[in-house]
Amino acid sequence: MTTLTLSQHAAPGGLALDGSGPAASVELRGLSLAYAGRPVLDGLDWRLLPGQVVGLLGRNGVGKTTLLEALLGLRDARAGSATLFGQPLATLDDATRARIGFVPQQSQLFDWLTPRQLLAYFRSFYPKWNGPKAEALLARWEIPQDQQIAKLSGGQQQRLSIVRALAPEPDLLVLDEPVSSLDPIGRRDFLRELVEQVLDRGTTVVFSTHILSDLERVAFNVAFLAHGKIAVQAPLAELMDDCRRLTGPASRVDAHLRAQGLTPLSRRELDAGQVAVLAAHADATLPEGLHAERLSLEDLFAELTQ
Amino acid sequence: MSAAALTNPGGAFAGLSPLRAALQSLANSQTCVSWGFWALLFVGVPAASALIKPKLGLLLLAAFVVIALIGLWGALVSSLLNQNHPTLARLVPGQPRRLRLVLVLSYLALSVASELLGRAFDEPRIGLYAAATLAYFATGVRWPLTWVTTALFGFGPLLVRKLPLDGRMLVGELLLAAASPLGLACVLAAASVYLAGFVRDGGGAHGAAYERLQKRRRALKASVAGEAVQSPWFLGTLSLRGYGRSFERTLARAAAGRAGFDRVMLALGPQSHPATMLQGVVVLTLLVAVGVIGLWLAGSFQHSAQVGEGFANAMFGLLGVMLSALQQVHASMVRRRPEQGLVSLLPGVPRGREFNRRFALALLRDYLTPWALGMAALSLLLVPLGGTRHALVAFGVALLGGGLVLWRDWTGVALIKGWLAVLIYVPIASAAVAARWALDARRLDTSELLLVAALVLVPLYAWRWRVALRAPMAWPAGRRG
Repeated sequence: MTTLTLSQHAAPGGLALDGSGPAASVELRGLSLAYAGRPVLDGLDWRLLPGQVVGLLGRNGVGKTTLLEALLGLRDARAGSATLFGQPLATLDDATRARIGFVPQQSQLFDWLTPRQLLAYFRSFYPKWNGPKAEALLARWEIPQDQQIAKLSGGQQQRLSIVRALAPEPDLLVLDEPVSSLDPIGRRDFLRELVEQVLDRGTTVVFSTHILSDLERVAFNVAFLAHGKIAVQAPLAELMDDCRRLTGPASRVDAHLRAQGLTPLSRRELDAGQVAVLAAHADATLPEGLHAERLSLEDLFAELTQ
Repeated sequence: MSAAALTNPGGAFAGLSPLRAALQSLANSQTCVSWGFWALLFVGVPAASALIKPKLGLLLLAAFVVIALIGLWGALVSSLLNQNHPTLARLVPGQPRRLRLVLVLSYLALSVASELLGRAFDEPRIGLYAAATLAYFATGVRWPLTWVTTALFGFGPLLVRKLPLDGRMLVGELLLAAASPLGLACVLAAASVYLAGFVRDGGGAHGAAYERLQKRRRALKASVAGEAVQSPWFLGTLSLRGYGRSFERTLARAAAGRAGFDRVMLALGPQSHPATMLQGVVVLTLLVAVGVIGLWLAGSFQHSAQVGEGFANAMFGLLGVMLSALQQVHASMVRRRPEQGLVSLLPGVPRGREFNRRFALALLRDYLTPWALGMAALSLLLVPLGGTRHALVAFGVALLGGGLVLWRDWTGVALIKGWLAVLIYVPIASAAVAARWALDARRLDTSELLLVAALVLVPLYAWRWRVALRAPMAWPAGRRG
């Protein structure tokens, strides 16, 4: 698959965000990380701007959790650099750390404590803690405060993890599959809270998920992780409106892309010399023998992460 | 004849299929590392010893073979009891019968083989001892609480001495009779009936017993893996209480603007918290105190030297408590990575070298506090009895060395599973036994032993301190794994 990295963003037809502009909340440059010699992140560049909501997509085992952990300095990268709010990860000061909220994939954390104890513990570290908001969320999401966390349901544990991350009112919220254990009502509530957080405070939010319908509801941007890189990052609406799957004989497809100055986002060989190419604005002045089709988010996911 | 032919479901030995399942389960639980370890232990150590002293090599080989056979027997009994699921016992035709057959045949085979080996070496009681030992181990697997009785073994000689002469003669005659071919046959028959009773045929009572056994196994596994907080045992509840009190105190200090590193250490959970480690020492001290008082009430203090010898085994108890504490630290470091990740992102938590310095000091403090209290309590109880001083000094010094494993680079740490988790016992227990031997055999006196220990441990601690400080930030552990 052809990937579109930050260096290619300026290419005509490129859908990804431009790297220039306001100071980034998160900036990763050339991040590489391997497990037992198998590269998971491979010179990955990524930039998240204040107030941006990004849904991170990728197939199982592609490295979404690793990327989110490396972004926060919880995994050591083999190469590359990462900054949060302009500070290198290794030297984050307390003021910057107070601006970060993280919901890890495992929600059964501090399971020997009760929710009340857990929140008291974390409150003791933060200079700013929105207690009433935490209380209100606990009540609204029906989380018993004095029951051991280990005895809460998976959904309650996940909600508690979200409350803990939201209470210090972070400027950067990193969520690793935050809704995987929630029922549809719980997911809707959570997404509403997330949108309010962004609208009220301009928080930068990045979250990984497999539930594409949730992305369509809340993510203003989506980023596809494949082969150790961010293959594409773009506003979701733009991606859905502009992206087309172009199929036809390989030579004709290539000629059309060249003529239109389009950069393919993905390319898949089909039978009998045919190819399927994903590109923006690919249906403009379509020559004979080529076929262009709009894609659902699920199809886009399949094309971009194969 | 191959093992597959022996246990082929359709073959002549189909009745032995539970044996095949047990062996497969045992093989599946091993890794390349554990196979390597076993090979080193069973071949390497005796071979190396034989190079120095051939007789020692042979002795070690014999000892390891016995240990391996007992270990295999324990694993077999455990697997057969596991296979004896109440639903399967009811629904699978002939399953309980096959389980009984394998259990009893294995028992008889091992006992008879031991008897024949004993006769070859002119040791006629070996078969009887093997039969008794195997039955005892099977009982321990079936009812884990009966392991407590091992604590009484140290008092065996004392109990025999307390018997009147007639009684002692009777015991001797009974042993002789039981070791004869007819006597041994009777013992084996009785034990076979007893063991066959371990396997049940389903039903409500079986279901409840099976669930209880599984619960105990999970608790035991969890305590090794650092998840003992979910243990149904009363000790789990106690450890939570001690941790809870410390939690409240630490947060109160933080609220008063005196947030120390203890607040960070809370993220490792109750399993490795000093309150939990202390609880083990307190329980051990209470058990020893009850024993001492009991013997005093029974008027056995005229044999105070023997009593002291018996109680010297309490040092193995302290060894178990302290090394279990080290295991819990290791397990908590691995199991609580997500918690460590969250806490290391928080404001007010030291970074890098400063974090490592405070973390290393906190770990050592948490290890040395129960060590010092345990040593003090056992010394107070046992030194007046006499016969325990060497054990106290030897084990105390060896356990000081145990703290070395706490100072390391934690970023590459991984979970150690199964028997490898108890590997840490080997060097420390060996050092303790060697030190005690050196004192008992008067190769060293106490002050010389302490000097040797200081000469060895001080440079080692200095080296580990440098390693711990120079390593990348210890939390979250295993992030390079």
